[in-house]
Amino acid sequence: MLKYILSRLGQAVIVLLLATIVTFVLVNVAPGDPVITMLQKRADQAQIDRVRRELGLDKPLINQYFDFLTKAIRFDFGNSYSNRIPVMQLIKQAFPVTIKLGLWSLLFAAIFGITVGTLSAVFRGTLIDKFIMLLAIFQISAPAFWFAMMLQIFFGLHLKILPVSGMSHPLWMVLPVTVLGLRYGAMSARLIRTSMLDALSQDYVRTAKAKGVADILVVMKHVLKNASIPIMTMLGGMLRSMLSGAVVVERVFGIQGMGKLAIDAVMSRDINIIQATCLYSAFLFVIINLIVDLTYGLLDPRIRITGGAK
Amino acid sequence: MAQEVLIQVKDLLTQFRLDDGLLTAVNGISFEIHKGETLGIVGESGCGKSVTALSLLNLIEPPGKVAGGEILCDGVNVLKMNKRELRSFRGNQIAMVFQEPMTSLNPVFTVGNQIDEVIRIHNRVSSHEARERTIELLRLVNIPLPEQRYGEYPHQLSGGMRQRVMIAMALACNPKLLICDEPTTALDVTVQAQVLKLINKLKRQMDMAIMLITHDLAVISSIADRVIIMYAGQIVEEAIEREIFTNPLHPYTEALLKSIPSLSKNTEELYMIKGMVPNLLQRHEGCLFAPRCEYAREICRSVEPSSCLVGNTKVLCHKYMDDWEVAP
Repeated sequence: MLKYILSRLGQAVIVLLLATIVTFVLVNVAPGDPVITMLQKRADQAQIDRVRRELGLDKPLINQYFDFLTKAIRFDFGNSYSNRIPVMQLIKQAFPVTIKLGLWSLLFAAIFGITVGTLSAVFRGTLIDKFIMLLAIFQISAPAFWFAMMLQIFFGLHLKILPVSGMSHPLWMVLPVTVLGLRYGAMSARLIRTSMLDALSQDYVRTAKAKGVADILVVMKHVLKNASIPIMTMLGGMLRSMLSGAVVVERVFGIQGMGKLAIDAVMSRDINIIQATCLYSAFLFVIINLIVDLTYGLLDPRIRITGGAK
Repeated sequence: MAQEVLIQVKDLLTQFRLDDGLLTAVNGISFEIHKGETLGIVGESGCGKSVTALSLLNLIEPPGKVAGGEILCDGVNVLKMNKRELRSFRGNQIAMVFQEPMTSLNPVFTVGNQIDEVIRIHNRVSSHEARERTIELLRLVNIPLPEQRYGEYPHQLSGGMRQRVMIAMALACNPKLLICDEPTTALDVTVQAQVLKLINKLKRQMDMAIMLITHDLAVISSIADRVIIMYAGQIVEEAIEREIFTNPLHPYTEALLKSIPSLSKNTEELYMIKGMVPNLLQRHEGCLFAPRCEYAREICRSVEPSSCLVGNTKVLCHKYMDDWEVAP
């Protein structure tokens, strides 16, 4: 098992290295000059050259890359081009916000999705099932920004019980978590319904009933654990996208999280931040996938036995 | 043999509402299971054997439904029980062993956990006591190293071993009736014999009745006391085991026996019953077996036969009815 984890971590390092190369190359081939953007066209050529020298942007690309890499290993991503604040400091501010928003939304989505998806599966073909699935389709198809704005208008402007945007009000998270949670919850409800239906039709469900196990226990114990592998996979994916920053929702609600940090950096061509946030996303991807793979083993003994040998 | 009746099935009618129409899987059958006997139910796939078994536990799921009849267990109608009564009935009074031991055991729980579960549902015992009892049961079904097997998962066991686990699970609460639905079909021939022997031994040891469902007449001949032959949702013949093999009455039974390949006779071609099982979605007139029957006359195709008694054998066929000699 340890060997498996170590080899996965080894792969993770390679993936991260490749991610740095790709981000570095993409940022440098993209049109536009960060120094000019930064000085906002008011500077003369001498000034531009001086700043470029200061930032090390006059060196050959390969040297720039290795500079970046050696610093990145020590979690030093330089300063933001636009306001000179160290990139790590910006991340330290944005990360807790995203984590908080992400985890609450995930919790909401998981509870909502599992409950509603299970209900839908148990009552398949009935009005309950059809109603739930209709709502789920609506949630998935409605654009997040539109749904967010509708909630802002209703709860913020009409009822005036929740803040429209910003992070100063004590209840600032309610609306963003609702938007994210319902959206991901609806997606997961559909998947959970399918995997529950699959598990419900298995022979061991009949065995459990023939033993005299109560219906609710059949679902909660025998079916849910068997259906949990696809559910875990999906929760992992949801966690990943929530932690890399909910770009749209953070923007609509004016939340200073990782998503907003990344988007703002792209807009202002703030190379150091772009590189740092890309690396962060890649890191998340690798770590969460590893965690999800390890939970498979906990959930399904068949994977545990063969997984170790792989 | 005047034995005490354990289960009495009267006019059992089980139907499935499918997209194409109403399918009658079990068509008004009646039979009894006596205390301590082994009743064999034989028939080809789709004749309603398994549905009959599941009906006994009131375990027919939608779109299926027991549409009529009575199932009396010690005088209580199983079909009228509420959910709570059913839960304490299933696995306790009647237990069932299914055909496919791999898929019938839950792959993500240990076998010990799954046997414990049934003990703890029906008895107030501590987890320690349940464990002790489970290990005892595993030993009873001849599983070596029961303490070790207790913590293993179904995929770590062989097919025969899994079926033994299923049997141990079914025996956990000393049921009065053990239903074995094709218990040996998924197993190797050598393992089949072992499992059958085990079932037979346990039956005597625990003084329970067994309802053995199979399509394999050889299995029946080795352990059944009485045999029911089913065809298209009906019981076509019911007799004691010896009678079925020495003196089959129904043309279907006769044909089934003829289609057992023999090693001693040097036959060029294997015997087979011509034609197909009737489509149970359609309404039929006359005897359901008539289209495949070599004795069929006009009356067989138009008038439904009724059950008649020949010696100790019950048979559903015009041949044994009074008007056969003069029938068209």
